[in-house]
Amino acid sequence: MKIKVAIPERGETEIEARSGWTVMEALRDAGIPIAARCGGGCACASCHVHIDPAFFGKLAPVSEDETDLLESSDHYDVGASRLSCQIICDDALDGLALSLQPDSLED
Amino acid sequence: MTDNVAEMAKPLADVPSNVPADRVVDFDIFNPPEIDEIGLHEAWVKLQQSTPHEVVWTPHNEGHWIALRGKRVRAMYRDPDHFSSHVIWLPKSEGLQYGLVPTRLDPPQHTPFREVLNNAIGITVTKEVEPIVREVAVEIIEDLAPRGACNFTEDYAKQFPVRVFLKLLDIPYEDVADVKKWVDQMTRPDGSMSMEEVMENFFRYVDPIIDDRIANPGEDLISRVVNNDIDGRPMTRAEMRGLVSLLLVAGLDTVVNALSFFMEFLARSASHRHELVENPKKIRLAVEELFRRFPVVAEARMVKVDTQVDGVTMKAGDMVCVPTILGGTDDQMNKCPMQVDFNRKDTSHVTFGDGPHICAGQHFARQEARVTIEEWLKRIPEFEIAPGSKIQHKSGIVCTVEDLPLVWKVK
Ligand code: HEM
Ligand code: FES
Repeated sequence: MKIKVAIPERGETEIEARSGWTVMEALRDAGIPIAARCGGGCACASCHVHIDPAFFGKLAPVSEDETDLLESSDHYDVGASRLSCQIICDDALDGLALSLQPDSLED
Repeated sequence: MTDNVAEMAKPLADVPSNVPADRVVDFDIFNPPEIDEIGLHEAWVKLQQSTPHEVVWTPHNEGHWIALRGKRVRAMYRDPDHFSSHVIWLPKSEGLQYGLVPTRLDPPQHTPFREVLNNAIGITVTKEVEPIVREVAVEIIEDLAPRGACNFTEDYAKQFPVRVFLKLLDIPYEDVADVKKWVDQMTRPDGSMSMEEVMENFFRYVDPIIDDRIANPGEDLISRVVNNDIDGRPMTRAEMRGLVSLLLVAGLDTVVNALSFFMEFLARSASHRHELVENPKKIRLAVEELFRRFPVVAEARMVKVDTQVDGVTMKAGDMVCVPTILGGTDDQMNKCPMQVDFNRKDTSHVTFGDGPHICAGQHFARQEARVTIEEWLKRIPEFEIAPGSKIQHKSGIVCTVEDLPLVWKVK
């Protein structure tokens, strides 16, 4: 599947992702500068992305733990925010469009 | 310390021409200076704090680089084009001999195998099997609680992950002794069997199970591994055996020792215990904080092409130790890193590695730790280290707590 990625102040790019991996892993392995400081444990929120409205509703539901973390972000948007380490790539999500947030950029 | 005599007698490597003199340190990753006096993590952090450099070189263990800063370690894990998994254990001559598929493969060869591991033990399965993990934890803890004392490493940490695995593999419980014997030989060989013999015995045992799960696939871990293909072709028997063995061994020593470090800490800190007993909902993020503060793995990468790092040239074929131990404990990654703070925000660590090989069992490991602490504190909220005992740490590829005698009052 393909993922369209917008990076703040750096424009857009498209990456190839294989199903079974998390979206965070796909971004990381494509060299996208995502912080992901806890490695995917739903514990740091530095893999926070905004999902395009066309795809947001297609994702598996958010867990309570994920919501708790997202709410702590300055860029939380209830209709768009997800932790990319909690979304599993799947061909049904082909074309998934998302944008990295200032809190998820690698420093 | 008698078994270190042989270690000390090993010759030190000569300093190669690409290593500037100010990068050379005297540090044996299997026996860091002062580990007995100050503890494992403190001994490593002492090395980190002893130099302004991000990478240093030691003549021990055939000579290798060590990355000292968490961000540097993470960057190397994320960069397989320069830092290959072709050899991941030190010393290099030993690392060249062992290693189960796909731990020593780089992308893209690594990728399809990794997908099998993700399917077998990733986020989705982890959530499904939580009740099984909890059942095993409760069983062992309820057996220990009335005794008022235990050696945590032997009586819990070494029992729990093996029993969980037997259930996940859907292997009869009567087999526990056999399986544990082989697994112990794989993770801590005592020389009584050669590695080939251990593996042969183990394969003789799993082969009929693999046959059964191909014929009658179920929901167990072996079924989830063997009924997959690798980029469109069927898996070979050797690959199936390798992946099943990897799942067994990768998730044992690591969990045993992480849990032991966590419990050593909780036994010493009443205030942290109380915080969790009063508010069990905090345990999930507390576990993350404990993984940050107590990483246990120190592996390596092999430099693939000559690469400039922090002002030095690493040559193709050079080994670099990428200690996860210096991730979360680095003051450039986290404020007051040696302090355990269950309310910490922006936790940063590399306890599970990073990049394509990041621990395939990380979600499962977190769950095993969370469930253990939840169920333990419910039954044994107050406990301490048995008076008079000295807790010993050992450093290695997987760092260990040798014994952890705990005592508590029986209700
Ligand atoms: C405290 C617990 C654990 C720690 C600290 C830990 C740490 C690690 C680290 C640092 C790596 C990276 C190796 C590398 O990059 O070369 C790794 C890989 C791996 N871990 Fe874990 N691990 C733990 C528990 C588990 C568990 C419970 C399982 C299985 C259920 C597991 C399965 C694996 C596998 C299969 C790999 C190899 C992945 C690959 O090469 O793609 N681990 N682990
Ligand atoms: S990587 Fe830390 S929450 Fe996703």
